[in-house]
Amino acid sequence: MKLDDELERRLTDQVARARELLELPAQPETDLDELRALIAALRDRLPATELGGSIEEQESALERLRQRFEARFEALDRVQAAIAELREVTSPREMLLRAPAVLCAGSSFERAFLSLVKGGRMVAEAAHFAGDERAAVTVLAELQANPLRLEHPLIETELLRRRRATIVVDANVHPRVDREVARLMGWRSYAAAPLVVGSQVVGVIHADRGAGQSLDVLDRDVLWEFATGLAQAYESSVLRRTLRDERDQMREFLEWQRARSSELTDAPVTLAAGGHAPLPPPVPPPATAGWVGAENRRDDRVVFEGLLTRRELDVLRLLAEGATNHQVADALVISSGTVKFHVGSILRKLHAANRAEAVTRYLRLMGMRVP
Amino acid sequence: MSVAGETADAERALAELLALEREIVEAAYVRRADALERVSDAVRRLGEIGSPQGIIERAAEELGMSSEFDRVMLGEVRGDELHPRALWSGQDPDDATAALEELRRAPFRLEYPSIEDEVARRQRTEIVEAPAPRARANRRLAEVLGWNGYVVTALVVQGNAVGLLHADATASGRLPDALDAEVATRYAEGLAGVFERAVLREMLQLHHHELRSAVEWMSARLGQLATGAADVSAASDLGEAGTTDALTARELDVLRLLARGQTNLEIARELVVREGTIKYHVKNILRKMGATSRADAVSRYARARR
Repeated sequence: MKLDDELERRLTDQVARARELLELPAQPETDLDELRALIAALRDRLPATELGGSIEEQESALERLRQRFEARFEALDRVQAAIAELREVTSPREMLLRAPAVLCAGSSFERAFLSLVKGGRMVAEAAHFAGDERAAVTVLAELQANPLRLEHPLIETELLRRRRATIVVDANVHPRVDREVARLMGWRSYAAAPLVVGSQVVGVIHADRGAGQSLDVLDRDVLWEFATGLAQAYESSVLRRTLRDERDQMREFLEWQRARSSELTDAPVTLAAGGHAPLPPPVPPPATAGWVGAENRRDDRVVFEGLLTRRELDVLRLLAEGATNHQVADALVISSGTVKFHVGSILRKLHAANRAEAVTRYLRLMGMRVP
Repeated sequence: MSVAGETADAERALAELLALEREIVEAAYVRRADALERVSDAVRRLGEIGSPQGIIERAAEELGMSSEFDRVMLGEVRGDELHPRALWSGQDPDDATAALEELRRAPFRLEYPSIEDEVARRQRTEIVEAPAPRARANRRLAEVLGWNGYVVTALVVQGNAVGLLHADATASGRLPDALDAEVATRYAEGLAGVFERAVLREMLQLHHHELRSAVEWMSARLGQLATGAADVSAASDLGEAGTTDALTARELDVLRLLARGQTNLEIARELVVREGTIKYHVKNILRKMGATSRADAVSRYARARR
């Protein structure tokens, strides 16, 4: 292990002194193991009855510290293992539905629920309560019956904007916690983290250690690690699924087309022939992915790099999809005033006279055909 | 010295050693937590690069800048060959350029019993300390890079080792330790994920692009068929919402000018008509395209032609 020079020098000095005291021969090099061996040797030499209380205090403090540090790395390692498990799930939706249970199994959280952000609301999709699946089902139903509106002072709203995990230490006195959800969960403290896919917040995951239990900063970090890993695994899975679906649909269409062309070409001309109505091609199934629009998402960042801020680009992308200011505000969880402000900056930076021209610029730069 | 005096000395020494151990434990924790945090940040920055090629070009440098390594090399695994792709050196960028050129002269064979082969096959991380296992370390790599020891880890995408990441701290006179291995492993995992997503996004885009080209080809072909065929009455008056099929030539003119950001008045001047006429055209354009605003009309036009 690498120590800084000052610590290294003190280690050498003190180990030399301790060896002298124990009447051991001097050694040129030393390390932490040596230090520990000397501590044990000195400890043995001292009669237990005469050991000062301060030594024991020091020892137990050191032990606690070591445990706390190890707990942190262990917890983060377990999250990685949980993510690896989720990666095995091929269906994107299934992955999200299983996430709360996998999180609880791979951490010290006892309860977790995952919600998707839809039209300015937080819609719960899956919940897991360790050892009490019935309660999970009930709570999930209640959460679904009243999806939380993501409005200004709420901590969840803030979460979407900041794209970082957070913990609420005391939900009862926190002014920005939704009272209904807090009551439903019996929260004392809880952690929450956004699922950020590309530049979009697609969902939020909440977790706690049971009603009335408290959490600390490590819990927040664990949840954030999990949410980040889950979002990435989810994105990969959505992309893979989308590609596969497109291939399948295309294949199906081409096969239908070939068969139909052959049928029409090879049909014998009989008296019954004629009067064929054109057959429509097979209708593809609706898109399976919950999160679409994967294309362009990163590319436009490259195109507009250095020109627009990330937020301005978020706004412009939505405008180009035909969204109104109000819809943009809903999607990005910001106020209409902020949207107007961003639109103003976009127009100025793109030298566009109005929104229509800004959209034209965007689409053209993204290689789309514009009127 | 009296027994009591000896005990007091030993106790004092013990207290000091314990205090020192505590400091060392804390320093180790801070170092590890800090190193892993920097790796996460580096991976996040990689994620902001859109193109897979851009990610690979940045990957060695990004790890170098975010760790205590002096040099980082990224190589591509192709069958049983390793092709060096990028080399970053904190000390001497020019030297790195020259060394990379030398390394790229010929690929490295991944074969038994080299460490590189084992890392690629078993998809793990190894700390190589020269000279002991030099027989198993790659001789040519060692000659060009002159390292005392290094960490090598595999870049695993969808279960395949697609690349190897080498890193060393020879210039700092340091042999890689367990934390270096952890940093390299974590970074390789993050990089693999970022890279995979970028590739998938690119594939999807490529697929859409090619499909669009096919559709354009087909519609051009159909256009020819239609003019040749007897049936020319197929064109219906009202197209699908969002398409411009239903627009008159004049309305298309207006839409084109509108997309340039011109106001009704400007369009009126350009087309030499009254502003009221333009308003009337715009209203019809929005209605026929099912658009809610002028920006939406432009957007719908583009979307219908994806």
